Amino acid sequence: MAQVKISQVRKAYGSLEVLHGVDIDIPDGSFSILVGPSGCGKSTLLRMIAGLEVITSGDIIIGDKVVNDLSSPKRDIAMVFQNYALYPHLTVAQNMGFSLKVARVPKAIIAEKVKDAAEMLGLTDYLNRRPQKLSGGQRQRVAMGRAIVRDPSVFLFDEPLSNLDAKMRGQMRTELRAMHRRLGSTMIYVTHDQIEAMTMADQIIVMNDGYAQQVGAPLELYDRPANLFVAGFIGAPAMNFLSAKAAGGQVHLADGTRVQIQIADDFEGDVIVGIRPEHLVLDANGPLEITVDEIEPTGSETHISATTQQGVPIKMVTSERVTADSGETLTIGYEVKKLHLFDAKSTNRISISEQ
Amino acid sequence: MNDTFRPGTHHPVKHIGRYTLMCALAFLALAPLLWMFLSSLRPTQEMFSYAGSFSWHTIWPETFTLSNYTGLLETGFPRAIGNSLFVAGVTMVIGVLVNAAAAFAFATFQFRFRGPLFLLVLLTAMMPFEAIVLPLYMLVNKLGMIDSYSVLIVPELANGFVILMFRQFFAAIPRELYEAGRIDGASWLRIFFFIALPVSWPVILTGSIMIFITQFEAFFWPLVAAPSAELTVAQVEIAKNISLEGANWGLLFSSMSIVCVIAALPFLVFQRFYIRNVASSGIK
Repeated sequence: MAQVKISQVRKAYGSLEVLHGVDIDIPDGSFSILVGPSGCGKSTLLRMIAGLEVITSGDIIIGDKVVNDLSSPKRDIAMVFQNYALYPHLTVAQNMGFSLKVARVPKAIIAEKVKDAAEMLGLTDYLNRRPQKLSGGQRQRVAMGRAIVRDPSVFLFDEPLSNLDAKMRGQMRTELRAMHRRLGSTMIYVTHDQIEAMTMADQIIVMNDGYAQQVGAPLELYDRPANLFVAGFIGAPAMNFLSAKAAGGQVHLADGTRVQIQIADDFEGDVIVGIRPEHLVLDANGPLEITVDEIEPTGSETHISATTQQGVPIKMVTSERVTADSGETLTIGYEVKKLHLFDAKSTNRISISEQ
Repeated sequence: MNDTFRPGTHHPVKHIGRYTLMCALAFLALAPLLWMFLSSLRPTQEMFSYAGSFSWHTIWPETFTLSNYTGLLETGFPRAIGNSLFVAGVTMVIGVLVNAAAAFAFATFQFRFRGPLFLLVLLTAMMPFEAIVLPLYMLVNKLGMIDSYSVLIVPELANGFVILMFRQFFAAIPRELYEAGRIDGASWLRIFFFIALPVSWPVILTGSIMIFITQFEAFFWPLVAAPSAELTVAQVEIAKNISLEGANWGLLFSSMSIVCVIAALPFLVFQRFYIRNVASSGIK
């Protein structure tokens, strides 16, 4: 077990910098998830922790050792790849025991460790099969088993569930969490799926454009996104953004209606009001008028796609049953307590107080 | 449900015509070999006696005899076959390892001048051997290798086409497989031997056959570089049956039959893999 500290880490390919000085603390025994759109640098960062990519500058510290110049095997890590990367010519047992064989561990001990891991993962009946005779979920388990037998300080996962179907993915999420509880090791997990991140993580690191945008617990990111990117990325459907102007501690939407919030008196300029779809409410006296484009009932709730009078697309989720034709106008309001406010220029969060 | 089109299935006449044509072509290709093999089983004086007017016996021997084969035992042919098998076998084993290792480096490592170096490798595959015989001879002469087994083997170890074939195969293996090996603690050498090579046996097979046949067929280089009698290879020994005074057709045919069978055997056994790999190497 070990904590992982990433300090001012940069990665450049020639003159193209893809990671611009990332600082992250990953506590010992935590399940931390790197999440972001493709190309944000999350996989590169994970591969740098694994020692598969060279660090251009900065430090990666595992436990209390700077591992920048250590080769992968000396970093005491194990990695599970998106495509599993099982050795096709070896059986499940040989795949799982490969690292121990390389390390010249006695055969009896390898067999025992492989057996334990196989029991934990429900693979006991498949130990003598080759990977191509296994289903996707079983291959995934073998890949995890290969990591488990090494008993590493840190587990690294690179989008391990993205090749599985939805049902299997849900099941593996639960199993991964259970595995984390049982082993108590530090786990770093990369995904582009924010739902996966929200449901599994102790700590989420949202990445975009080579920067760590925000680090925090899932609900903290949902409740208090640090900037527009995080606000738009976390939560589904995504947060609605309405442009507004701030002056004298007050905020007015583009149509001139005042938003019932109070901000610092000295802030002046363009701002963006963020409202999550689930925090919009049907309210005949509400301040917003929207034109319905599409209504999608899911049974438990109703998703409404609409357009504001300023022509801004807006999404709303309500537990009420709504029947309206497209083109009809609805009057809605919002839960003032759950509004978010961002500086339009810097895109950073502005703290607000309710009036 | 029967609307998938397969050529020929709807027109029996065309179907028969197609196969007749193919059989004829196959016969044209095989007839000389067949004639050679049958002729090797008849006495020399009978070989050309029916050539003037075409009859059944132009092809089919009147009397069968193994004398042409037993006659070979008194020549240098048995030793030459042994030499050829030895040279081709050793070249094959070492060559596959050397070429695969080079290809593995080209496929997995980033290093300076990788592109230009690989281009050079490709050029060696395209260069006709006759074009480099002279400089190569001078080189091995300087190294004191003339007239030895090593002069027959060493220059033939690196084979541009085999390297290309291996490189294409290794490059197509998902990189994560090597990375998983790295993380599992394996050295690159171990990854090469225990991960990359075991999954590439079809290419190993194809490459082996290619190197083996190339070496087994070699004539010009052994003739030039290894003149002494105990180093004579099969092709050179066969050629000794042809001289200014005339040819010893019986020995010529029997020795060529043996050589053809040996060269064809590995290909016939593994042809399924061979064709698939040459086809998928992106060259032909």
